[in-house]
This record gives sequence, structure tokens and C-alpha cells, in this order.
Amino acid sequence: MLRKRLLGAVIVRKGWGVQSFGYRKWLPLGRPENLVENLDRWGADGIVVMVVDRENQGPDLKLIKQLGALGLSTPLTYGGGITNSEQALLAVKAGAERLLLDSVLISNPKAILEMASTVGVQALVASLPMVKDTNGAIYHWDYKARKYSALSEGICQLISDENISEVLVIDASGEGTGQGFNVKLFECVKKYTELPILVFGGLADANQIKKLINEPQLAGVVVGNALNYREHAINHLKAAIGNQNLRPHIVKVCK
Amino acid sequence: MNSSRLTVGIVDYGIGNQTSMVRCIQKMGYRAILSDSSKILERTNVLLLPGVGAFPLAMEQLHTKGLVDFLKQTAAKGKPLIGVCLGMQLLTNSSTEQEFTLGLGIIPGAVESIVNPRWHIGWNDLEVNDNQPLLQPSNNEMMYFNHSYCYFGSKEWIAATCKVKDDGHTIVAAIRKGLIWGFQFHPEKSQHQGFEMLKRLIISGVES
Repeated sequence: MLRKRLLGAVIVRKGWGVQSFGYRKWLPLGRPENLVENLDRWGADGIVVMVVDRENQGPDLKLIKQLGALGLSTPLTYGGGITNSEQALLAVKAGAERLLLDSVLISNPKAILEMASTVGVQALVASLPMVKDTNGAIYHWDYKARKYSALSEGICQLISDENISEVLVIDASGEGTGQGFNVKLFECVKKYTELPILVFGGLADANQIKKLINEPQLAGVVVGNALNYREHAINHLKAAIGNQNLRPHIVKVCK
Repeated sequence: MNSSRLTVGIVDYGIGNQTSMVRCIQKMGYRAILSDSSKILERTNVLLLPGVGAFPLAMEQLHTKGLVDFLKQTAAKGKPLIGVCLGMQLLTNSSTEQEFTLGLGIIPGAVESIVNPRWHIGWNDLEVNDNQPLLQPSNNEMMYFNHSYCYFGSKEWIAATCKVKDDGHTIVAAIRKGLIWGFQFHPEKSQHQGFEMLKRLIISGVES
């Protein structure tokens, strides 16, 4: 049976892998290639690289090529700056298996259909940063425009028509806090789609993940900062979660 | 054959994750040649047809680059050929992804949408058929899948499956016709277990 995934995230800003705090504050962690290589070596179920400063610049093809040249044996998802099918194709050719789409979902949802006919629907993942305000209302956070709004009709249609293959729900205000992922955000998005859902933001320890992992529609959890503090952090985290629905941890180096 | 002199030709049809495949083959210690030239590819020991993309565009690209007849003739001559993910689907007769499109017709069967669940993304256990000794060492190993269309065809060509539902419902994970193999999963992205499987099949293909 298909297992749930524990994916490692690397956030990149100004060319450096950074520790992010709610996408507002940043601390450098090291070269993205090194952080990604560690996750590959430690046997993550997938690696998600999010470049947060690619506005109007297209994807960071130089970085993807550098990562591709590492010969990663773990599936790589890249997000940041992809706005059209040509860029999507170049990113896949450079070494990304899957593409995380964010601002293009708002600015040009029709471009997603073109991307699907080029790189395939299975390569496309929608990134939805969400926030819950103090009154309990849930909003989609457009970090490019720096504004909150309800999920647009275009996005709802994209994820309900399954023109992408997975949705990454980001707890935008929890990200970097280590205080846990707000499950209400997941519940909000799943009302609009039957697609597999990944969650990211605020997840730092096994107990937080245990609360989520048995959700039927949840395909996996993405962990960022917490994986960078300790060698083989994936292994320790999986052991602590101890859930048979997760892929068992195996580390053998390809030689 | 000295394995360092073994050359794997990776078919470059303009779409797909060729970079990942090239590096994977190089890590095995083999020479990897990425090319869209049939003259160059025919000088290699094994052919690899990679793929991340949509079926109609992939076939269009193979036609444009004049590789369709080359791949069919190469397979007919008995040269080892390995298709991965979309590359496996291209080996079949046809696909209904986006629109009905004819494939290479090298392994009989067709590619159709997976239903309920619609997606098969992540790590799943390989269940290798007993009559596939080359693939047996990979039985019950977890491989990485990412697809929403899959192979439907005669049992004769099915080499491995995997379960997608608790009720035992399976989908095809690998197909085989002689020295032609197709893998729906990504061995190059399945860490140690995928790497070892691919290496074993490349060597056995060349030694046959």
C-alpha cells in the first residue's frame, strides 16, 4: 500500500538555505546544495525546495541544475518563480520531478492547464499558504501582494477539477514557530478537493505529526527547520512517530 | 564486459528528467550518453527511455526527432531497452491521457486513467511475479511512484504490481517483453533499492 511521506523542506532566499519564521524573518543555515544533499543522504521520502525571492525572475534554474548535478536519489519538488509552461519544462529538465506552484495560481490559473499538457498533471503541486485569524476565519495568504483573501474561484476550480496532482497547505502564521500545524487549515482546503494533501508549517516534533498522520486525505507532512539541527533527523523523527502508515526508514547509500 | 565501459544511451526527446537519469547512471559507474541522435544511441549497450511529462507531447517529440522507427527497430533487434514512468507508457500501444494517442507498440497493452483513487503518488511495495527472477530481489521493496495513468494489458507482459487499496486492488508497476522492461515507478528516485534494481537489470541486459 501507498505510504504517507515525511518530506524535508529547504527554504532558499538570496541564494542561501535559511531558517524561516513566518516568511518574515530569516536566519541563514548554509548552502542549499548541502542541506538538500543531507536530506537525500538521510533518506527523506521527498525533498521540497522553496525559493522565496523569485518574483518576476522565473525559476532558479541555476540552483535546480546544481541540485540535479548532485545525482539525488530522492524525489525533488521545486517551487519559486514558475509562471508558464516553458519555465516548467526547463525546471523538470534541469532536475526537478515536481513543481510547486504559488503566485501563478492567483495571477494566471489558465497557465496551469498549459503546464499540465507539457510536464504532466502529476508534476504539478499547488502551494496554498493559509492563515486563521483571531475570529476563526480562514484566509488564503497572497504573499506577493501581502494580502489575505478567501480562496479564489479560480484556485477552487483548479483543485476541484484536479488540474494539479497534490495540494501543499502551508500554515503561514505557524511556519517557523514549531508550535504545530493548525488542522483547521487542512480541513478548510479539503472541502474543495479530493486531491492528496501535504501540510507544512509549524511542525517540529513527533507528537504534532501523530495528530495529523492518520487523516485519510493527508499524503504526507513537510518539515523544515526541525530537520536541520541534528544528523539523521528524519530517522529520529520517524522512529518517534512510530506510525506504520509512514514509509519505514531505510538508509543505504547508492554506490 | 568491463562495467566502466558499459554505455547507457538515454533517449533525449526534449521533455523529461534526463539530468536525474544521467547522474544516476554515472553514479553506477557506467557511461551515460544523452542524445536524440539514433546514430549515437545505436552505439550504446542499453537504451533508457526516461520521462516526466504528458503522453501526447512525448510521442509528438519522438516523431519530430525521428526516433519512433529507431526505437521500434532497436527493440525488434533485441537490444535492451528500459522505459521509466512515462517512458514505460510510451512502450505500449496507446494512451488516453488528454486524448487518444498511439504509442510505440513495443509491448502490447494500453495506458488508461487510474480510477478510485485517481492518483498514485508516493512510496509503494513492489509485488514481483514469481516468473521474474531478475526482478525477484526487489520483491516487497518500496519504490517511488508518481502517476495518474497506468498500464492495462495481458498478464503475459506484467512483471510486477502493487496494491493501491485495502481490498487488494492492484495496478501494474512493471512490464516486460524479453529484454524490454518498463517501470511505472522511478528507480532513479527510489534511493538504494531502485538504484540496485536498475543496475542489476542493466548488467543482465548486456550479458544476455
